[in-house]
Amino acid sequence: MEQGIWGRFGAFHPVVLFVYFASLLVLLIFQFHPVVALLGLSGGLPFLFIIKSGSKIKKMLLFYLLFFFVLTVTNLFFTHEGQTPLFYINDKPVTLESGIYGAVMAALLIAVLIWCQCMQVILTSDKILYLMGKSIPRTALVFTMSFRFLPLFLRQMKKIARAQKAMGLYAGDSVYDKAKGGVRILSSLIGWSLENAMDTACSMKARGYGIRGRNDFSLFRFRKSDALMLALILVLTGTVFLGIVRRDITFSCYPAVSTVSFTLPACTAYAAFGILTFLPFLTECRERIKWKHQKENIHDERVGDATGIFFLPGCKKTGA
Amino acid sequence: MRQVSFSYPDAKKQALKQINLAIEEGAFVVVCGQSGSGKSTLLRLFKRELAPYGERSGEILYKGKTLESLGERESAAEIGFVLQNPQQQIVTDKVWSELAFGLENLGLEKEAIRLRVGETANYFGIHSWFRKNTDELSGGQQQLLNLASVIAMSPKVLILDEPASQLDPIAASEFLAALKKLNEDLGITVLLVEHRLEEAFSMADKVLVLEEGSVLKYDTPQKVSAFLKHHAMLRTMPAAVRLFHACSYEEECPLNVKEGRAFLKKHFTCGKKAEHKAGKYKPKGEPVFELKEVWFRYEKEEPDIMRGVNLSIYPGERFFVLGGNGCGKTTMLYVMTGIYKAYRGKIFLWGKRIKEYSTEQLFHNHVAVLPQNPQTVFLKNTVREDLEEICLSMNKSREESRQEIEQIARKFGLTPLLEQHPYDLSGGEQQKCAVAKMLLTKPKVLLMDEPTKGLDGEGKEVLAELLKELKEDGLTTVTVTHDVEFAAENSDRCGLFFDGEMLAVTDAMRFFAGNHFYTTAANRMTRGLFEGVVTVGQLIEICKKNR
Repeated sequence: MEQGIWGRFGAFHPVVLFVYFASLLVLLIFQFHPVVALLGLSGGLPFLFIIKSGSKIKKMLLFYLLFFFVLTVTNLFFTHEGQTPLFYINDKPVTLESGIYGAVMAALLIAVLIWCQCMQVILTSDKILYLMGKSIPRTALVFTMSFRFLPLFLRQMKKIARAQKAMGLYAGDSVYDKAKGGVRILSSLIGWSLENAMDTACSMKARGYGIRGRNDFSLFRFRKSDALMLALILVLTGTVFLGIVRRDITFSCYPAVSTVSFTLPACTAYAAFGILTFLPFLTECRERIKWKHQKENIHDERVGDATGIFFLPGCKKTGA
Repeated sequence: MRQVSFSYPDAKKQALKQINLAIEEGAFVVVCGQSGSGKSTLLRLFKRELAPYGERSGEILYKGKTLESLGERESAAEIGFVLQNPQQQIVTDKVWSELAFGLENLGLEKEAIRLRVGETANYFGIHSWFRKNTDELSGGQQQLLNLASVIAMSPKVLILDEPASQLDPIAASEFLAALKKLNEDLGITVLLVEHRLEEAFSMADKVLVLEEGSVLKYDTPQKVSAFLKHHAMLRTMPAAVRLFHACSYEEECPLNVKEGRAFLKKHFTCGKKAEHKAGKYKPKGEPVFELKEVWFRYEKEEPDIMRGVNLSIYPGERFFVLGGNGCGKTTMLYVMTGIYKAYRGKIFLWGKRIKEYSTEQLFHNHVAVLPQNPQTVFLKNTVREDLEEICLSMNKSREESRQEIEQIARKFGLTPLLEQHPYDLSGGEQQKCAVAKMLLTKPKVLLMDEPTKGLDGEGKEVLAELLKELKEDGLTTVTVTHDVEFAAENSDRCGLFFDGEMLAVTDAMRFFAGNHFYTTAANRMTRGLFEGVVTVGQLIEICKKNR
């Protein structure tokens, strides 16, 4: 939930975050372009590193590399379109174009995955609920209640399994015993859930659930910084979108790999997209620098005070 | 809130009969009575939304208006209700959204909700866990949250149905203290059903005693305790009250430990040592269970829960493990039976490593564990089916199992309950059935996890009786509990589980006489006055001798 010092971006209003991730993902999914893929990757990875705990990063990177390799190679050997054959297998050409297509596709896919991972960390359940609650409050309540209920359910399941085992029921190691035990536990869990639902219903009713005019409350506030961020995101997305619509940035692999254009409008679009992808990372960096600065300032003040005292009246007198 | 008079005919007999009652504004009323006396029914009738179905006659007035004529907003907000089970009352997944739930229902403005939620969280000291998930909270915190989210709606009357019965003693007394504070600070009228009268009794302005659906007595605690002198309910009264009645003096009755001490000093020559069987209990024979330097943790990265526990349990004894909530007592039970595997140390059962028993060997004819919540024991639709299942798993024929079930049912007085659904039984009955089910596996050692949780005085007595019977049958019982009074009355030996270790394993009398806080009310009352008094029975005995 709270990411400590790295939590600035996640602290933006859920609407801002939602717009950000939605536009980024839409652009990544629908714009097949190597520069977009590259920017998406290079912006997403550092951000993911700082919001996820360090331990799993190596594993993750390895996985993505493997994934990239497999996708590229698969495309290389299974698609035979393209003009530039590299070599032949079974009289089928293995082309440069299909290799590049595979690589760009893989890079885009990985970028999407990385951003989804970021989203999972940043857009926590309460934020999603808040977003849903705006439009469909009933469903949102059902979701909070299920979020509440699920851990309870799992815990009860473990307890029952433990209790039954301790009575020597279904304790055998055979698959049949285990399966049968599982079914029995599940059926008793349903009974337990209904029993509990009664209590929950009572507690809801006692607190006036069902009175007309229910209002939705959340802890989120839409601040000025949220508005600024939202505006920035919209402008950037708009710029990129404009570039796409005006066909400033296009890319195709078949029949031949098109050149990547670097005209001014194209570069503007790339730049806009680049800023967009690096936005979260830069936000966090700025925050960190600000903190460091503040610490130094505090430190400076202290030193200044100390020297001030040291050089004040007493020294002057001795000097005079 | 003024004058209530109603009768409430149910299917067969009346649950409440012609009750007339007036509760003043700002009063703290404790409702007590044996189980089945209609306490819960009465409380629920006060809350329109929760009123049980059935026929009701007479009327309930709130501030001179009938309950039915109240607006739904008024009714929901002004009369708050807290139920028994802390966990199931929580509706949402976050603490803050739970606090806001009632206010959302009332349709308050967002800023107003924000303020009220903040205020309430502050008052109850919830701010430090304000953004947590509700399932990370301890039982005590959960119940406090339930209370807080009702209080957030600023009720005038607060009704609580055994709110502290699922909590450990420390959390329970904190909860009761919070109630008292609410009553005194905010003038909220409190209507509380509670078994644990030791503390609640002296807090009350008035006590309402119900018996079989009618009001037995409704008066100040003083007068009620005087009235109950020859009544069966006396057993559930605080230690001081019981002492007072045993000695019969003409004056104000002491209600709590403090008053009890003053009473003792005034009337008795103090300083004597109690002559009871302290230290007489000596464990005999080879240990049944032996734990040697046992270490346990759930996950590699998690802290140790057991740190080198040494413990021996001897045949035929009633051993009690005491300790606060969440200290790992339950975990220890499951480690002992090998369901959780200790990562260091050895556990022996009859001199043989526990590892060397197969699961079936171990849990048939040797060991049985009664879990905390008896509901996890039953899987079938009737008690009989559940008991049969066990017999069949023991490779008994149908005829044999039928006989055995009849036998055990007769022994425990369960025969009338056999065809009922296990969830429909009362707490005490559930516990009895669960024990019966355990006993069908013919264990020689019975491990019990918090068997007194949620039981009223009567249920506890049944359980105590059961423990005695089991001992006579030669069974060894190990009970994990935080119920000090119960342990003092019913144990041979005790130990305190704290910080992953077993401390002070000794016979019960010495254990409780030696402790300062973790001990019975009778012991606290006599600290420095009489030595070695643990149970109320001993207290009365020594007082009679030293007038």
